Amino acid sequence: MAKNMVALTKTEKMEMCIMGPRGSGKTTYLASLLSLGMKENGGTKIISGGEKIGKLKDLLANFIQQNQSVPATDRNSEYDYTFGVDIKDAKRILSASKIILSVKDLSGERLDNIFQSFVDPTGVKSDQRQQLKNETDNFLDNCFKLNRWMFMMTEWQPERDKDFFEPVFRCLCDRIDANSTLKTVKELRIAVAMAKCERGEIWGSRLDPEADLFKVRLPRTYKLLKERLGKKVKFFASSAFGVLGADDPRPNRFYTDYDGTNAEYRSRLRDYEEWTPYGVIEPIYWLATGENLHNEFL
Amino acid sequence: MNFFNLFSGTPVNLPGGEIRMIGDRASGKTSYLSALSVCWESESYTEGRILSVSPFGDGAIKLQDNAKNCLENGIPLPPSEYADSCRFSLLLKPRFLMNPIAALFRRPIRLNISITAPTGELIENIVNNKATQEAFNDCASVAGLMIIISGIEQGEDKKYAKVLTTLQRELNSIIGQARNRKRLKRHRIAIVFTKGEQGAVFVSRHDCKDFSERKFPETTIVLENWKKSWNCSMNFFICSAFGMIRELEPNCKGIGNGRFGLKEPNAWQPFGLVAPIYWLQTGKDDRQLRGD
Repeated sequence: MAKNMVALTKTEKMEMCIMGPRGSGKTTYLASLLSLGMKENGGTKIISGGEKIGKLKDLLANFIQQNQSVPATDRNSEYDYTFGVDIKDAKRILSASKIILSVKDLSGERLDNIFQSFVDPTGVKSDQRQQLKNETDNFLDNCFKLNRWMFMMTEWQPERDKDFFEPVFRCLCDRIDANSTLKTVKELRIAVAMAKCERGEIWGSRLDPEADLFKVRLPRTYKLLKERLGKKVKFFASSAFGVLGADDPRPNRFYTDYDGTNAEYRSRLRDYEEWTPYGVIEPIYWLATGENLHNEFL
Repeated sequence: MNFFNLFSGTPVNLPGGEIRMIGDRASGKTSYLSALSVCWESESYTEGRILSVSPFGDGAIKLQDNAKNCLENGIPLPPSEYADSCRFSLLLKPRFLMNPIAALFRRPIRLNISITAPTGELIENIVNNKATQEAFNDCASVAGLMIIISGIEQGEDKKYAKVLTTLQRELNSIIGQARNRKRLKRHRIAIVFTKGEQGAVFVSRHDCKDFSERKFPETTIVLENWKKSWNCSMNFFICSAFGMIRELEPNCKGIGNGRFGLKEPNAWQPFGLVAPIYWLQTGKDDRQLRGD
């Protein structure tokens, strides 16, 4: 009775975009959210919708579930999906028990476009530079209509940190500063997630991703983001495929034989029945509420 | 028998009036008017607050007939053939806190409205500096303006900011010339974002002002300045002519040429259609009509 009269929990709503290099697992991450909603998993109820959700459902049924690799998202495309996530760990009074989010899945070449438009245009023909720059400007303008951003990262090679991520994020930070009067920038939260944490070399670092993953493996990018964005940014570890079980830390995915393509495009889910994504709700929860979700591993 | 039939008494008339609806070609003006004309047929619509919508005049009758046909057969709405001027009489159940007398005597409330979408695509004409003085005079002749903006057109912020700056300047000069500055204060301007069934708009349906500030920052600044300079009332709304099914799924399907039809006509649940009209006519923000 009292529960009906006084709201003890609340529903948070947000619109976010998800960005990252090609093959970083943005669409697979969203498909893992969808899969969580299709399985009985001890209370986390996820419903999905949106005009284009059929595309994600198709991807799940015809590729991931069939142990096929997830095809790359078409260039310069974006897909909108809507999710309603019931939070099972929302036990505190007035904590968010449900999050309704609209996600914009942005194809992976956007970061490359920022790099080529504003950092190093030498890879683009001179007659196409202005057009690319205009397109990227337009894209960034649209990003600034959103106050929740999520970046998916997979690589941590020192040269990638120094030569690509740091300059690209510096450019983004400059833009954020230049648009500091916008409401979206004042409210901006950026979740940076290291994807594919089922990889053996980083699975152990997932519990404290800021200290053990980003600070160590992407030190320049980490330093830049912390200095420029402060509390607007938070670091996460996620694994869309997860591992085979609590006592079996082998990744729940396998690679097909080398066929000339990057390994990122050859990874496939190993066991659909055992599929338990890791760390996919935490970034969303922080983006929506600004609070940390209780992590059962800690 | 009538004694038991609630809200069958003589309606209490609320002050009615004329509304000018200003929106871009693809902003959803026709969908809005069509859905409004039959919204009472949706069983769950604002918990039965809307008792009926009666059309007056050929335009409104044809619009309603078309909308009924679309609803019953699940076909898309025809282009805006009849949507130029529509007169409707809306019958609503009263709420005790807002209409205590009508609620006490169990009488419905009636809202007579005339909505006109200025012909000749006013927005395009303003963008191209081709808007005629007649069009501005027409807009200046009413106290209720409804500005319809498609919630999913993110790239339109600059255009709307420019259009509304011009519109305000022109209206200001017309009404100001008449030395009738007090009239400015009586104006009500409703900003209505359509396509609320789309996820990006849907998640903000309870924070319309916040949505406007995030998605249309330049337009919102222009509107705020407008409100301040006229000292008039301004309110933000989000509506959907299609509504949702199963909580998060838009009840619409693309059928080519940028046109949409209902996916499941039987599960039609539009939202937010009457709230802006009710506010424009009465100045009262009815949360239930908003669908909150």
